[in-house]
Amino acid sequence: MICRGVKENVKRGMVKERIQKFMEEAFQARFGSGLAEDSDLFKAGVIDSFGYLKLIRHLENDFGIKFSEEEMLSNVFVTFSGLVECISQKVQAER
Amino acid sequence: MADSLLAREQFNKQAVNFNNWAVTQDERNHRFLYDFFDLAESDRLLDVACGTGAFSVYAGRKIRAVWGVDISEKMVEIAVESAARNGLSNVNFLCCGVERLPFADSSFECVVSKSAFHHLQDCQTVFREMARCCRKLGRVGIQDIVLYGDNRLDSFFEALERKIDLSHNRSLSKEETVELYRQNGLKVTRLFESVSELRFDEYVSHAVQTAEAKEEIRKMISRGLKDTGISRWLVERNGVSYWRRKVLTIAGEKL
Repeated sequence: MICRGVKENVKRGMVKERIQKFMEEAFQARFGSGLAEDSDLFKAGVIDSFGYLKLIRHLENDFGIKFSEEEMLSNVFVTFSGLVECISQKVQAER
Repeated sequence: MADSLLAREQFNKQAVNFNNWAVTQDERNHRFLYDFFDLAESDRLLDVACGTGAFSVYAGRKIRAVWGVDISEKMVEIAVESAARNGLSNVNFLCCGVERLPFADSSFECVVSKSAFHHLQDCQTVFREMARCCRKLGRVGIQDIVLYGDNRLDSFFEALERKIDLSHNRSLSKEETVELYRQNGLKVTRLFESVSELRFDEYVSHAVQTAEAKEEIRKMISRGLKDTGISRWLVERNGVSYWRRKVLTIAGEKL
């Protein structure tokens, strides 16, 4: 169980790193310097309507996932931390 | 007068104003919708309650074929002129009601409706028709204003909408819109909630009001600006008033 927990944390760390790298490159988002991981990315002006599409398409291609209707209807795309949590779970579930 | 006739008469009166409104011609939003609805060169698009056809004409420059349908003769007249002016023989318009669309089942890869559902008397029937005309694995999309989700705010702003535009029927909530997809067996694949800041004077001018209605609008705004809850959505900057309007853009796949 401990071993599995460690593996999941490593996986989550990798997911977080990949999303963070993309958000920095695509949206110039710098987390930590005034932008918290749970900040609303739309209200903070990091992502607009085009950014929303760019982000979804990138995540679907990069992680080979499809977002479910439930995920589309919830607020997973609003914060960086929500995205990391959602994609980590999807990646784990699909393994 | 029946509601649909009243709406048609109102649309005919305000077709020119509506067409000249910056929001109607907003090419940045058209580019977003084109992308959001995953339109591709080989697609046939049906634009339901298309108004003066601004999005139809935009999409028609890029895809195989577009049909736009609207109840207002004057709106369709402007749309036809616009397609002709742009040399688009692949873009066609029909003047008819949207509760019974004159197309065979599964005729289109994509069926959309922009800024129209709040005018409709029977959203369920119109959406069912949109889904019927869409082929399997095609997309059905809507972009429209939605309720704020607060009874007091919605009561004020829905009343204001009706004062501005007689043809306003009722804004749907996000949940009601999603339910339309579920009831018709479509899977929601994209959902984007945003807030548009509309210049209030331009918003009022996109429709036509009586002098009496204009005065009532002025009084409502004055009252709204003094209310802390309402004034959050009616803001003034540099002497210009803006209405912060909630907008929902949603797309689903026909299973």
